[in-house]
Amino acid sequence: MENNNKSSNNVLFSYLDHPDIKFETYEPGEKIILLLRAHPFTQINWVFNSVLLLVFLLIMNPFIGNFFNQSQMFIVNVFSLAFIASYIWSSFLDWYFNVGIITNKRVIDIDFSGILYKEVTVARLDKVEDITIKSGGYFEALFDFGTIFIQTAGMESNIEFANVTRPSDAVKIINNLLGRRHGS
Amino acid sequence: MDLSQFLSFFNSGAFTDVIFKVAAIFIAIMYVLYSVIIAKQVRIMDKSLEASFNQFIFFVCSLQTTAALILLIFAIFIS
Repeated sequence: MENNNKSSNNVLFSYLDHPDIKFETYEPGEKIILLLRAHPFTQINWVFNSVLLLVFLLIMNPFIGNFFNQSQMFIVNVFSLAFIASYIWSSFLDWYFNVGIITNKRVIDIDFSGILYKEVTVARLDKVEDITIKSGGYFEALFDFGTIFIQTAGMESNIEFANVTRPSDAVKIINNLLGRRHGS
Repeated sequence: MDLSQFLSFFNSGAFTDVIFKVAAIFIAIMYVLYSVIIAKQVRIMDKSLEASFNQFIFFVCSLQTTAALILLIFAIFIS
């Protein structure tokens, strides 16, 4: 989970220029320009929680040792570690698969909430009317992340890329694509 | 089993052992189900976003399912 300022094909980055990926509604001839994920700093919540749970387990071990025998303690510890590992894994998957994709034709927002619920929002570039960046706060300024709102015309859904890395660069790219499309 | 045997079963600690074993097996079964659902869901997620790194994600998911099954065996035979 890194934040890179250069173009890269490492899929774990949160800002990827021309990534080597494909997506479900990919159309032949469509070029993927940019892939955006939430900034790694916004994931600090679950990293902190996981460390806290591990420390809690370590602290509680001598106390709960009085209630269980050795084999039961082993089971309790293994189950607790499995629970923490699952929490880390599902949080990572949540981060990894929630992406915003900008192609030369469309803007796509893929959202998985709680891993099980999937929502894919697609807007054609010629339907994009207005783009807004919301970035306020110390951490947003320090780590350069924010939320992009893309308003579309007609019946198409509006798109929101939450807490993405380098939002102004991403908007610049979308504006360039819009200019290119409107100019052509 | 007469009443005195029944009461000694509760006082000997065997009762809490049985409760622990049942709870451990139940949690282990829930964990197996959870890991299978996550593995299935990752297949769906892979269709939404295909990347070379997804192979590693599949590998971790299969590890998780294997670990869940081992836990279930532990819960049945060890606890």
